[in-house]
Amino acid sequence: MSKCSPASSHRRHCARVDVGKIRTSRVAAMFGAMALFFAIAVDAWAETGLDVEYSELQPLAEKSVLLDVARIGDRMVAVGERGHVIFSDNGTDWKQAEHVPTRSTLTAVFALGDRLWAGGHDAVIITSGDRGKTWSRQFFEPDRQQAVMDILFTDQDHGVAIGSYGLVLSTMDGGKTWTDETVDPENDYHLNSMVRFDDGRRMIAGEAGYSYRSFDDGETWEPLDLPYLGSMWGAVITPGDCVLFYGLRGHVMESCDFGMSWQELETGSLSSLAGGIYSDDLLVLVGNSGTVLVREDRNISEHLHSDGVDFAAIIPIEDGRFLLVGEEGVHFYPETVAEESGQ
Amino acid sequence: MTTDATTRHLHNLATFLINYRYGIVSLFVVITIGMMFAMSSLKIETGFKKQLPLKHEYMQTFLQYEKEFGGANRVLVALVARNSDMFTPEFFDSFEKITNQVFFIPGVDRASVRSIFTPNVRFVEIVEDGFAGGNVIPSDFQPTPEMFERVRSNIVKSGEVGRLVSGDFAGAMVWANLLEEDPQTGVKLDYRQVAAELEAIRTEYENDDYSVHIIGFAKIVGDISDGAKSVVWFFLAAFIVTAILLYLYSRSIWLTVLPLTCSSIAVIWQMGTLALMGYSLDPMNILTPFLIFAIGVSHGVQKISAWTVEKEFGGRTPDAWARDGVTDVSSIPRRSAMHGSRETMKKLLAPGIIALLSDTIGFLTLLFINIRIIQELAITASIGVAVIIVTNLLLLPVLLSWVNLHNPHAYRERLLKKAQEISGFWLFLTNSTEPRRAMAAVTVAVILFIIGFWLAQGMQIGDSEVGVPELRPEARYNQDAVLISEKFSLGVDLLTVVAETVPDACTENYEVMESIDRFAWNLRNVEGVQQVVTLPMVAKVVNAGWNEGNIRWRILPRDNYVMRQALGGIETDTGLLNRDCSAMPILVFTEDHRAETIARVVSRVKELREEMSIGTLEYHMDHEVLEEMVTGEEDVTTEALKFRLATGNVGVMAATNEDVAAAEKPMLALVFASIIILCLITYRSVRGTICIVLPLVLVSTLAEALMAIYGIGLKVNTLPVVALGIGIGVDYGIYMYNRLDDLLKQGHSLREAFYRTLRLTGRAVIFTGFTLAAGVGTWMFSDLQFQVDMGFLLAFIFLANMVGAIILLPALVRLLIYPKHKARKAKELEAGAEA
Repeated sequence: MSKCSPASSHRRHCARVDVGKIRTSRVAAMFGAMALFFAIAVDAWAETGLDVEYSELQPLAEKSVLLDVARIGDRMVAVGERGHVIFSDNGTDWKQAEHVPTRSTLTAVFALGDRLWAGGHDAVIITSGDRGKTWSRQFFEPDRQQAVMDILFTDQDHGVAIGSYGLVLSTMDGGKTWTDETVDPENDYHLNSMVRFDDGRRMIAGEAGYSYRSFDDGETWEPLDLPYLGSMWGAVITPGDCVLFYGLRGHVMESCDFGMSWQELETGSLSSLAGGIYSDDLLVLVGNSGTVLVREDRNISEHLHSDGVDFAAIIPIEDGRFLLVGEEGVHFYPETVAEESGQ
Repeated sequence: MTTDATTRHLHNLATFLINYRYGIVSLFVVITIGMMFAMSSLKIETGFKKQLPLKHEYMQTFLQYEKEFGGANRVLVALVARNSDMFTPEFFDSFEKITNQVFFIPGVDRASVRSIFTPNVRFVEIVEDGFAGGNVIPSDFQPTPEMFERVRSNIVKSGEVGRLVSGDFAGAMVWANLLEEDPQTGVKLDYRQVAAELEAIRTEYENDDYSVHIIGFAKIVGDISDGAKSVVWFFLAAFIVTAILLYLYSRSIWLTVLPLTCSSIAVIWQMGTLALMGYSLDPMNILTPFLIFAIGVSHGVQKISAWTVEKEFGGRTPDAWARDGVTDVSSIPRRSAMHGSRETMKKLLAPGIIALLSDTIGFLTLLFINIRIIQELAITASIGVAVIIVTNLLLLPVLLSWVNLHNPHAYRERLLKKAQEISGFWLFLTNSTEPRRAMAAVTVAVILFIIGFWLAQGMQIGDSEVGVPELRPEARYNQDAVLISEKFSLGVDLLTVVAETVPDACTENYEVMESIDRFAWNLRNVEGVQQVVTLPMVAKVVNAGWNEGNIRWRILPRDNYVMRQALGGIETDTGLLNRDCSAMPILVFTEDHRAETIARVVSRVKELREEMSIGTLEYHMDHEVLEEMVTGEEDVTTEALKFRLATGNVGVMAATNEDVAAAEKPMLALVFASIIILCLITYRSVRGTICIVLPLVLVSTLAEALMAIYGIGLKVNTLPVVALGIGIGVDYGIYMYNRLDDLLKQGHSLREAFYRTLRLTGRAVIFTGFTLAAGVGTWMFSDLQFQVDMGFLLAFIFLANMVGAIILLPALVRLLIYPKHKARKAKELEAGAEA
């Protein structure tokens, strides 16, 4: 059940939620004995009293809203609405994962070694040991009305999932059990993105000017003092011990001293930025309405992708190109191979 | 009743009519004048609902939600720059004026008018502390490059790209909803006036730089009415062609004028009767007066032929005289015109009535199809045929009783001379009765039947052309529809499934919303579906908006409060929910409206509603209002969610296709069954019946093959054609077989009998075939696609039946009847010899 503290954000209500019974759909039944086997195998969640619902296999899954993408070896795995998980070894031919035990919208996917974790709304966390083909559910508590927004593992056992309304879940057994933690007892703003430096320092980009840093690999957290109080939707580490926060209305802030001082970058864009990557001396940020910002030699240039959709995440692929996910699935930047640097 | 008695009655009737001919004709004149008055009030109008199979399950849904989700009655006017984009002072000037003019069209619901110039179109942007917004065109708008840049950016923020503004910024649109009834005065909307005002806008603003494109039901009605107006010209054309054919046949002014007059009177009476019965004439049924005219003329031809023979040749055909070696006309007796009329009536009233009855049976089978417009067609045509019995079987002979041919001697000589000539054409046709030729004809017919049957399997149900099927594909309206659907991401083919649920389900019941969303997504994945729009989908986007526009929040909130917040701003006029949110349409935009696309979507809907049935749902009331009504918290169990097919133009097509496909075979079976029964009663011969019916079967199969080849789908407009065509086509067979049978019974050889049949009846049949085909064939030049299709098919069926009657029928007689006939004759001879 959700908490009802006065500190709750204005958007959060102490609703008495009647989830009712969520029945096993016939689609789930189609998976037959195999599904049953998995349902029993993951009976750690039996106590929640919720039956497992499986994501539906649909030809247009790769055109649906995709919210994050990760690379595991040569494979790219993207996750999105309705529990869609798709994967591809070349970026153009995608297959939908056959066995995904959730229909909740997945917002984050993280790969480490040969294991994948993905999380999303209804506080769902799922994991895959076969490079994204089949998944099992590790955590699912829709009653919380909290969403996982980012996942970060440091090894096969230790990881953390952060998300909306101050959600912090940590695990020390690879996700078999998760425990609630908090970074800010005073507030429960959305925690949108976590980055970790090689030496264990961490930063969280969050909502409405509430962002945090930790010197001790996430043991203790302190708030950051930011020059801009809009929401930060993501963070990316760049060389020189620098970090960039990006988010609402084209705002990008850079700090090269672990958050002591911040510098706002002139982006010239009013589109909110949802994803970013640093690769090959190039920083690329993507966001709403087809916005692609490229920073090269400290100059930021704005490109409008002709697909014009809202982008959520980006990863590099071969030949200096990038793969973008968002509305209408998978997109590329630059849009054609010949087109070297945008327009 | 014995034959003698029948003849006596007919004689008395004919004598009576001719003795009182002045009174009879005066009566006809009076009635005709009255009918002309009645006819002048006959309205040519079309009704949307008349074309719907209203008893179909889907149409029940359609009727139930017609009022609530009536957003279908929308007019879209697009201004598109031909060679530039829309950001020019001239474009903005024109477009603002167009918006204002649309606003002031009577019948337009002014609050519903939307364009970038109307205040109800706003842009919203997300800022740090919430939302900010304004009108797309700022109040301080000046046509400067900077301002145009601002407007462009506002348009993007307003989310209207692809809706009110084309994706390539080359054009913009005005949307307006029409009110079927004026809310103040209750006056019904005059669609044709709206269409005329829209057309005036086009005339004013379309030029070398800009084009204007208009779509909407009102425009369709206007265009169909305009197309139907050309009916006068088609009627005139058909009239002239018929007059020429008639003169070539009769070579007499009077014998041309009188059948035309009587047939015209039949049409006047038919339309007058319709008006008196309170019907209006639908553009689709405008074909029936033509049919009635043509049927009238063909019966008139029988009358004037018979009358000529009775009056000028003493009751024997010129051919018969010629065979008897008579070469001098003066030795052939002449009778009075009155005698000719009486004899004509006596001989032709009975077969005429039988032929017309068979026509009527063809028409009346259409009454079994539950589509109002087809039933009206059946009634309209049946009335016409009933009128023909009076005008052409009774009035025409009466009128003929006054006629004296100009220079009768020359006329008689010409006919006799012609009869003496052995015509190669008739001889050639006579050869059909040679056993080998007969065999060949039947073999060809069988091959044609097999090919036709095979091809007919490809006949499609419904329509596949782009745009409105009533209009030609190249019609301006359909061109506009194509352009608008290309420039603007706006589907024109829509099937709506209505999700019915408990009141307030959209905010109070996550499971219902989730099911609708999943249902919609499953449909989106069906091949041929372009887009699906539902309330849950909008709720997701709005929810992301409330979360700073973050795409990661594009979800259905489980929290009822959050859901209420997300749906708070969504009005019922979006057509996505009704007032208490107990019905939510799922708008399925399809890529086209081909029958297989529709069938695929519909069958998936049926599958899904089985799969997704969430049965009864414990509905938890925690809505404030409801809480006041129900003390404490009670769980109400009710059937939670039903997905009902279907409204939208594709929903209507789905229902129509299903009904039309289901009606076709029973209708044909009924037509053939009634014709078979009629033939069996008349001729008491199974073989004879087969000879008459088999050519009809072949022709109807070939007609279907033709429909498959030319891509004419089986639809409301074409379904009745086969019944009409067969009903009328059987006349030829009946006339031919009747005469042939008579002559055979008189002891003529088959060859001789058929030659004689051809020279008298065959001539009339060929003439009739061409007259009827000409009457409906003029329709092939119509602006209206359904008239083109009907005209083409009917013309084919009439001509093919004519050919079948003069080639295939005698061949069948040779193979089926003649051997038996000969055997009987031989036996009779034997018996005679023994005696």
